[in-house]
Amino acid sequence: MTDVTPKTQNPVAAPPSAVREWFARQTTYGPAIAVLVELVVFSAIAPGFLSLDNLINISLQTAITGILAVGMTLVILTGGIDLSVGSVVALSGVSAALVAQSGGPGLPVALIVGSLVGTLTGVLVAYFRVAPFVVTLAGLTIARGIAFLLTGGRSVGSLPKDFTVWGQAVIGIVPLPVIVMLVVVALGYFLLTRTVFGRQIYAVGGNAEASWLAGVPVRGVQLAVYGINGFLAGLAGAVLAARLGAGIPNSGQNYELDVIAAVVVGGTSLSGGRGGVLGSLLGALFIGTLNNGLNLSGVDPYLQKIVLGVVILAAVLIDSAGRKRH
Amino acid sequence: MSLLAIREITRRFGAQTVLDRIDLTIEPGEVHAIVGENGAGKSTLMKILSGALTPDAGEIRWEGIPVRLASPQAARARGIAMIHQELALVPGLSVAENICLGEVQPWWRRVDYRQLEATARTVLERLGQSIDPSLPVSLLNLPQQQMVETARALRERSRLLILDEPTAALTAQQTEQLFAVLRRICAEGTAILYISHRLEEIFALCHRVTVLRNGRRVHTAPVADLNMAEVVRHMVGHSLEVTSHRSPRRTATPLLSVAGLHSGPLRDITLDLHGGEIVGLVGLAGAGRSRLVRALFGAQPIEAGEIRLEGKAVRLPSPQAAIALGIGLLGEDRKRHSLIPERAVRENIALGSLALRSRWGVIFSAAEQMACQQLSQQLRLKTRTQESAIRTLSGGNQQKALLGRWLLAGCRVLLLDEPTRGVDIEAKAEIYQLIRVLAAQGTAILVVSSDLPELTQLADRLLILHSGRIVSEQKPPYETASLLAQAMGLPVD
Repeated sequence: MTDVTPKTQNPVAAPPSAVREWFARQTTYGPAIAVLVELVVFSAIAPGFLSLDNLINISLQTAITGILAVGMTLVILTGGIDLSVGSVVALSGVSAALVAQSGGPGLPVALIVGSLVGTLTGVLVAYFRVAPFVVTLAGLTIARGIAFLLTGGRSVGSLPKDFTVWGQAVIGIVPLPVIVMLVVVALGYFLLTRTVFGRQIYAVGGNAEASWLAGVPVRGVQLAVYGINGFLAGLAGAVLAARLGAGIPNSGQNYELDVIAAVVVGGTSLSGGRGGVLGSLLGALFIGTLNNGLNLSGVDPYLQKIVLGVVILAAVLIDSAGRKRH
Repeated sequence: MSLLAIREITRRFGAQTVLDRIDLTIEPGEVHAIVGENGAGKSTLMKILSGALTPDAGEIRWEGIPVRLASPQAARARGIAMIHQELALVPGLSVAENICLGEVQPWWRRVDYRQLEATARTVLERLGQSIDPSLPVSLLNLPQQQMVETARALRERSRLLILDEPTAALTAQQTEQLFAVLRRICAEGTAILYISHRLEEIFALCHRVTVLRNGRRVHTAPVADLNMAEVVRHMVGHSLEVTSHRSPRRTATPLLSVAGLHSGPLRDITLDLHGGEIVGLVGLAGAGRSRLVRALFGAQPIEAGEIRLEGKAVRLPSPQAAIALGIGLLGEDRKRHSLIPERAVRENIALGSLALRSRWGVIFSAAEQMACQQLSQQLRLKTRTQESAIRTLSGGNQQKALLGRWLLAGCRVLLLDEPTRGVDIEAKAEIYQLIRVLAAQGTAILVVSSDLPELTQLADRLLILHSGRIVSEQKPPYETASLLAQAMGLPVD
């Protein structure tokens, strides 16, 4: 019964109105404006902020958070959470480094390790009904522990060139990690807006029982989002190890907090069902820009932490106030 | 002097008057029954008397003095205790702790458990109960929990107990025990307001009965002066309702047939649904109506029995499987069972049939927009755009959109559980019309409703469900009083 082709049914959607409709449907104006304000303010007060080198630097800093934020967005949209991503970044990074060091395929190994951890999490959440907060909190320490065990606590360095390109190559003027992030965001956007699976993610987060009664395989959707999130954590782990030129068991500490902050600042509701990856990308940029700008302005690093926290709170408060008025 | 006297109590919800100038008196030591069909205003009245709602007009006198019952606490302080259908106990605490829960003590005082348990034991003994007060409530069965709640009310020296369907989950023997306790309490001077669908209980226990119909008090009399048939007549009004009947063009062979189905409280359900007919399911709350439609939709496990679709035996392990076979269910509670409130009207409508308008998991957006647009026009959906969040629509329009979900899925069998609950009159008429059109197109429709006139208006035939069994089948012209009597489990001559 799938022979209803989109071609034959394109009635009133003339291009200009389609474009206008797309803009009307976006909910990411808040974060977009926030990033713009940041750019203007730091351009004015931070020396060297508005140079091409620095902007590329910001995007490179944001790449890892951005990749992770896409996976986290999917998880949070279903009403879940994943606290283990930072540790999975480290675990997949050292696994990839160990394999790459002996001439093996580093990137695929990272992806497999990440996917395995994510799938295991998904099984526990979806089929054993364990609260995702608890599962991934346990995952956080277990994955970190394995990363240390595998390496004996030491960094795994001297990696071959064909692995480190994933973090160090530059295409034109754009670093490869940034391109990887943009591709991931584009795929995430397509998944959420155009596919059956994306629709089901929103439905499960919006009302799981109603979704089940509408024929949505709720558990399958939950399993899949954690699996995808693990896959992307594996990808981020490989990119990070490649950029640093080493698999470091200590790396990725507290990444989950940055990533969750990026998703929330981007307007995705922690209770699920509302939000999207464009917002999360902007949220990641917002946080990356803030860190960079504060650094360049010479703000005390301890004070930076406080500023970051306050700004995140303010962004979310403004966002929710705006939502209420609607 | 009456313990409680209310005069001209009126309560509106929006434009609807759910209680219209109700008068009622309750004497000390009296068991007073309130009866009425679903929607007659019983629960609103109980909420007002227990302080959960305030009346828009009217007067409440407690021992002759006008009072305001502004909150459940205020009502409790006066001595009015409501014992709910869903019990309000703390499962992790002991029986004694629950019974003495309302006791106000300085927070720094050590709790004297021995004294608590002694107090609890005394109250329980007054009820003739030998429950160990140190047990956690979660270990008790339902009638015991009911006793604990009753004991709590007594402990607080309540002088009026309100019981809402207290026997709904009890066996005959447990009911008898409860009655013995209630009689004992009354003999001590406590008054009881007793709400029940089961008329035989009212005749066994109560002194007086008040009948409500459509928010009005239609009759109050000593039970001794009435018989059951008279009570039923007062409940449904005097008219013997005969509805015009359309002749269905039903298929010769059944579309869906169920044989010997057991599921939870359901016992040996056998029924046929033909394409093109509307079948109504009549039953009291708790008779298993929702359970039946949910079982037929794969949302409740089936313990025994066979389901055939167009003669072929099918398994229904999940709603997903049922939908794939062309079965749709509009759930009882719209918010809980159907709505994805934050998502667009279009997404809500399309959710039941995404596979029909997608390939390799990618949605044909234009086709979807087109289909939903057409459907909205057909349903006369009042929404600004397809992209508005569905929560912004009125209840009636939400319901139409959700019915649209199954139209778009092309269901052959449609199960509708309370399709017009919380829906305005205009949308109600439109939903009826839609149901008739669907039937005319060959859909088999099973409607569950607490609204008897709704069923007699819509259904080509009615099945009456009582305590998990289908006890009779009726064809038009329907006699409302007899339908109600059967649903209550009374013998019909």
